[in-house]
Amino acid sequence: MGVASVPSQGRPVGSSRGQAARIRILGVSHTYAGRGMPVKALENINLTVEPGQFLSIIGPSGCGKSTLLRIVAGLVRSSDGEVVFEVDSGPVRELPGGDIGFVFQDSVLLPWKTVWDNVIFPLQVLGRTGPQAEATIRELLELAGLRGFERALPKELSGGMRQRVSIVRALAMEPRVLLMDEPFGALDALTRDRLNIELLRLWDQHPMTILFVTHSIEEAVFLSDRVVVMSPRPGRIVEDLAIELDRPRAIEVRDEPAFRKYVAHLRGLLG
Amino acid sequence: MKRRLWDTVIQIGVFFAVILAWHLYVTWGNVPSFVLPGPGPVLAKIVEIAKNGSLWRHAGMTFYEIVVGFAFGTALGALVGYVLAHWRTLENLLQPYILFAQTAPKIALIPLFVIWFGLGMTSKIVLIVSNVFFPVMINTMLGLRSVPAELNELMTLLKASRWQRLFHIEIPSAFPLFMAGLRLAIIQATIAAIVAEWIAGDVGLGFLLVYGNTTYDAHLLLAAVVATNVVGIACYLALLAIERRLLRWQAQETAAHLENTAA
Repeated sequence: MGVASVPSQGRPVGSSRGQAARIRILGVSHTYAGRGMPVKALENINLTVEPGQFLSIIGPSGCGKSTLLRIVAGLVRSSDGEVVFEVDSGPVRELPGGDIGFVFQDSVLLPWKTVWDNVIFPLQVLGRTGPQAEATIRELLELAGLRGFERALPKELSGGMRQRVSIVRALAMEPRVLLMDEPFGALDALTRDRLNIELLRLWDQHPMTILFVTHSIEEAVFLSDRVVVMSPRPGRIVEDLAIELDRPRAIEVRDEPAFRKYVAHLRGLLG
Repeated sequence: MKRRLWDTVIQIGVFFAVILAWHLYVTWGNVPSFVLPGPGPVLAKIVEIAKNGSLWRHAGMTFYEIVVGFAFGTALGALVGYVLAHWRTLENLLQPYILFAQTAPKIALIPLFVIWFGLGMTSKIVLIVSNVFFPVMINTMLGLRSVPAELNELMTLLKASRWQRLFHIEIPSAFPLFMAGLRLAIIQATIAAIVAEWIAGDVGLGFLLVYGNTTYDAHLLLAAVVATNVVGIACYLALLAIERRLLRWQAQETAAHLENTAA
C-alpha cells in the first residue's frame, strides 16, 4: 500500500451516510501566547490524509501533536496556515456538526446517563435519531462487546469499557473524520491490545479517515497505514512512513520481522 | 434496618429527656414563668394561638415571605451566575464588588430598605432576596464552571446551540453544586424573613417574637420560637425532598461496580 493510496482489501471508502473526507493540513503553525514568552508549538505542518486512511502521529511529549489534532477539529484556531477537508461536494474549511468524531484520553461520558443514552446523545443534539440510528448503535455496541450493558451507568464500567463507549459514541454519528487523542494511553497493556484490535474491526465496518495521536510506537505501527513522526517543540514533521503490513492484522503481526523493522526505525528517530 | 430503628428510638428518647429536664429545672428550681415557662404551659400557648388562628396567620405570612423571596432570589442568582460563568471579562470586572456585597452583613441593610421601600412587604422580600441571591449565584457559577472542558469541546464539534449546551450538559453538571447553594440559601431566607419582621410589618412569626418580648409574654415568645423552627425545618426538608427526587442518579452511587474481564 502506498503512502497516498486508499486502504487495501477493497474496503468501500464511505459510510452509509457520506464519504470519508480527505484532510489537507496546509502550512499550519501555532504559537501559544503564554505568560511571558510566547511558545511556538507547531511549525509549518503540511500533511494530506487520504480518505479512509489510518494515520498515526507520534512524537515526544509537548511536541504539539494534541494541538494539531485540536486545530484539525476546529477547537483551536491556528496562528498560521489552514486545514481543508475534501468531501464529495468539494473542498470545505469546516465540516458540518457530527462529521468530526473526537475521542479523548479520558472517556468523558456523562455520568448521569446510561451507556445507551450516552451513545445516542450526540445524535439527539444533531437531530438525527430514528430507527436506523438505533440499529447502527445496537450494531456498534455489539461489535464493541458492550451488549447487555446498555442500561449500565459509566461508573459501573471499567476504564476500558468506558473508553469503548466513548469510541462507539463517536462512531454512532458516522463521522467522515475520527480524531483520537491518546485514547488508550490510560489503559493497561492487555486492555490496550484488545481495544486496538476492536478499533481496527470497527474501522473496517465503518470506514472513515482516522488521525490517531499516541505515545506508543508499537501501537502506531500496528494500527496505521501511515505513521508521522514529529520533532520536539516546535513540532515539525521529521518522518512520514508508510506501513505496508497486510490487513486484517492480528496481534501476532507484532512478532513479524517487518513490524520489528518499522518499530526499530521509528525508535531510532525518536531517540 | 434494625440499627436505623434503634437510632430513631434513641433520637425520640433524647427529645423527651430534654423536655423532661426542662420541666424539672423549671419546677424544682422555682424559675418564674415570665423568665422561663415550663414545656406544658408553652405547649398550651401553642394550642391556644393555633385555635384562635393567630398562629396560622403569622406562620403563613412568614412562610409566604420565605417562598416568594427564595423564588425571586434563586431565579436572579441563577441568571446572574449563568451570565458571569460565560462572560469572564464581566466577572473579573465585578469580582471586588461581588466579594464586598457577599461578605457585607445584609441584615444591617434592613433599616435602609425600610427607608427605601417602606414598612411593608417589599422591604422584607428585598432583604430575603439579597440573602438568597449570593449563595445561589456563586454556586451556579461554580457548577457551570465544573463542566469538563472536553464536554464543552464535544458540544462545539456537534455545533450545539446555547440551549442544547444548557439542557444536555450544563444543568446536569451544575446541579449538585446548585442544590448545595439552594440549601444554604433556604436557611438564609428563613433568618432574613424573621429579622425583617422584627423591624418591618405587624404580621409574621418575627413580629410575634417581638410582640411576646415587649409584652413580657414569655409563653408567647417561646411558642413563636418553636413555630419559627418548625417553619424553617419544613422549608429545608421540602427542599431536600425536591433535591432527592431530582438527584436519582446520584442515589445509585452505591450500585455495585461490575466485575468484568472484558476490560
